[in-house]
Amino acid sequence: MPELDPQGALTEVRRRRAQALDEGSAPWPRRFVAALVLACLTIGAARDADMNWLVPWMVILLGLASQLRGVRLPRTGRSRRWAVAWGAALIGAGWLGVVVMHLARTADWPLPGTIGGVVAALVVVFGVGPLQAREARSLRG
Amino acid sequence: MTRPLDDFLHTPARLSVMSLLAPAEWVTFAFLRDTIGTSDSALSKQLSALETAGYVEVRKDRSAHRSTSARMTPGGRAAFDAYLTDLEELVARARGTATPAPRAGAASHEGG
Repeated sequence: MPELDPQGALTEVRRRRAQALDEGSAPWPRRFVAALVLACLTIGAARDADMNWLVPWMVILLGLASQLRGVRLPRTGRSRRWAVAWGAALIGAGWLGVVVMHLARTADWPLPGTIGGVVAALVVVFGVGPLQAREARSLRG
Repeated sequence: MTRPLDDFLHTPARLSVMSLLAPAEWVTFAFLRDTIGTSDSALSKQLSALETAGYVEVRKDRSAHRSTSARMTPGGRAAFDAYLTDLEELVARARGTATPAPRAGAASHEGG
């Protein structure tokens, strides 16, 4: 290990602090949003294929995947509000998916579950993702 | 007169760990290891030393990830802030600039 001079130590502290902040305040990676979209489609398709048992498993896996961040920053008042917003958008995505599925089923459209899943996926891409990114940015204070 | 630097914290590995923990609530073992670029055993040794000193708390998650996380204790934060204040004072003296009144954790509010 190299010797630490005071100026080098201060530089190291700032560099490491920035690394922790970057990790803790990063929005969901694109592959996670893609996984969320795929989960919406899979849940919809699973209902069409009478594989309802798959639905809770998808929800559990998504819950675990969302915790895979290396750094958890302390929450602020603003970040809490954004977290509530994207949580509500996620619940709204599921609710809208179910409503659309029932409408499609009433209208006798083919694959109503998949259609509901597509609608939920759109809400995730255009609603949940951007709101979560705002929450992540607000964690930097 | 300035106090001597805290020798326990003034080592590259422990300083890196404490600096990564400073702005966070919890940091995973994997993130610490990958960011610092050290081995599991070397990081475990440093975390054990910091835990024994009462500077960090280590938590083993028993959920599906079975991951280990660490965070700074209030005592660790106080020691780290004092160390940073001493460090800044030393640097200011070396530059020949007037030293302001010590400000605990001054560096922890920069660089973000």
